[in-house]
Amino acid sequence: MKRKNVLLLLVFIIILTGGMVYWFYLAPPATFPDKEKIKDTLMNRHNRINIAEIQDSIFLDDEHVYIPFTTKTESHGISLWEWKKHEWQLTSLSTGNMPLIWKIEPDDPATHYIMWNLHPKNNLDYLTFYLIKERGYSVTEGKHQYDPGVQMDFRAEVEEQSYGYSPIPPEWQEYVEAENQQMEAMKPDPFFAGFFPPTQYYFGWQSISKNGTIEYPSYPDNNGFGSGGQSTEDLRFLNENEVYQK
Amino acid sequence: MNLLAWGAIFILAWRIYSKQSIKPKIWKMTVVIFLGLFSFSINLPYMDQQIKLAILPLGLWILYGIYSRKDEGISWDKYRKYAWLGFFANYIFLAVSLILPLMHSGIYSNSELSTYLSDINKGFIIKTHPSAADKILDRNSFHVQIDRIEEEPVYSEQWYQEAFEAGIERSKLEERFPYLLVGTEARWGSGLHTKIFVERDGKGLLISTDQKQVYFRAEKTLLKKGE
Repeated sequence: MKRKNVLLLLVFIIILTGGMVYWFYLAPPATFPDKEKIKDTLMNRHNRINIAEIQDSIFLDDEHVYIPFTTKTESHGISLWEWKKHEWQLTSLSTGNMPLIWKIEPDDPATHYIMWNLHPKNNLDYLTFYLIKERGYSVTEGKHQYDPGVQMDFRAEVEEQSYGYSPIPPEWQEYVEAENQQMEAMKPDPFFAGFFPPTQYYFGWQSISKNGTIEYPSYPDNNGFGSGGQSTEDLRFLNENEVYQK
Repeated sequence: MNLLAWGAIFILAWRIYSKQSIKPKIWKMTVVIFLGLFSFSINLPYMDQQIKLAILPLGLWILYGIYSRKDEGISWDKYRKYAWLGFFANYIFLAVSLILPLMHSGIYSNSELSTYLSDINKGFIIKTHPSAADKILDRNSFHVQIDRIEEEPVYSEQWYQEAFEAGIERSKLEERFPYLLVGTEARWGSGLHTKIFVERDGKGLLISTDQKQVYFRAEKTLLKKGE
């Protein structure tokens, strides 16, 4: 009799865990909250953003949404939403004049998106995005290592709307893939000190104004702020002399 | 290769088992071997990798603590050998990891391009630096030359310095290796992940594996004009 009870309890626990795993990780996403709800979340005490307008809601896939917005102080911002633990959650928020990259699946560069939202008064013609790795070399214990400099770029037009986004180009994906695979294989033994990881590549950007010069879009001000998850990264603004020019 | 080590452990366990008069429960025996594996160990460098030298049998101590007081020591008698087997399994793994690189370098020569690059039929190049010309991979040239492409030393410091002598301004520095070769496979079974940069003249290949870097030089260019 006792054995039967134990068995029953076991079955119950298995069903419960199964149900919970389904509910929190596997269940299809619920309908995305409407604009008012989004606004409320962004404007709540914790986030303290004075929303003027929710500009758009862009589904990057079923579970990841990019929502550009404007504030009453004319800042243009980016908010990123994710279906996580059976809830639509705000995972990243930024009102800086700084494009960012969202690595939805960090190991899969095909899911890496660059996004931006810049005030139209900056009179921008186009943006250039960069993937850069500095040239480097090392000689340790007679082992030579040379790291070729990497610089890849692509251009994004600035159109009527202030915001935009782009997946990273296929060539970048190839490079990131090769780099990731190698990092994975190199993962050091955590107990072994004296290992320092090789320098990583980074992402950068430039904005080119209508008169053809590289200018940081400073309108309305530079005092944006951001609170991002681990999966987002700001792009570094690069001056003219920081990149190779043909 | 680890399969070999596990096979050896299994055979040893089976031999102990068949000689015992009081048989232990098999699942308990398995757990004991696993726990016995648990040890304090130090890492030592050996042929481009880290090896683990087990020193203190932590798992064994835990097991002794559990079993020594049970049934006036009879239980411990039953499982003691398996616990030690678990600990010695560390050395079986060690032996495998010592032999493996030797076998590896026997089968996969470090100084032959085909170790790093056996199948280039799906290979193509991407420009990783704007100083590169618009070129594509010349697979024919590759196939014709692959057995004759020789290894040369990596002149890391020299290449780095040359880049700076070429132009003073940072924004004019050309890159010696402005292409990346992707979509290729290393030799089957070598377990290598490679990143292959191609030199501006199309004759040099700079190959990084997870452990080191090698440089190969061909007589004729491996690139041709793109459309």
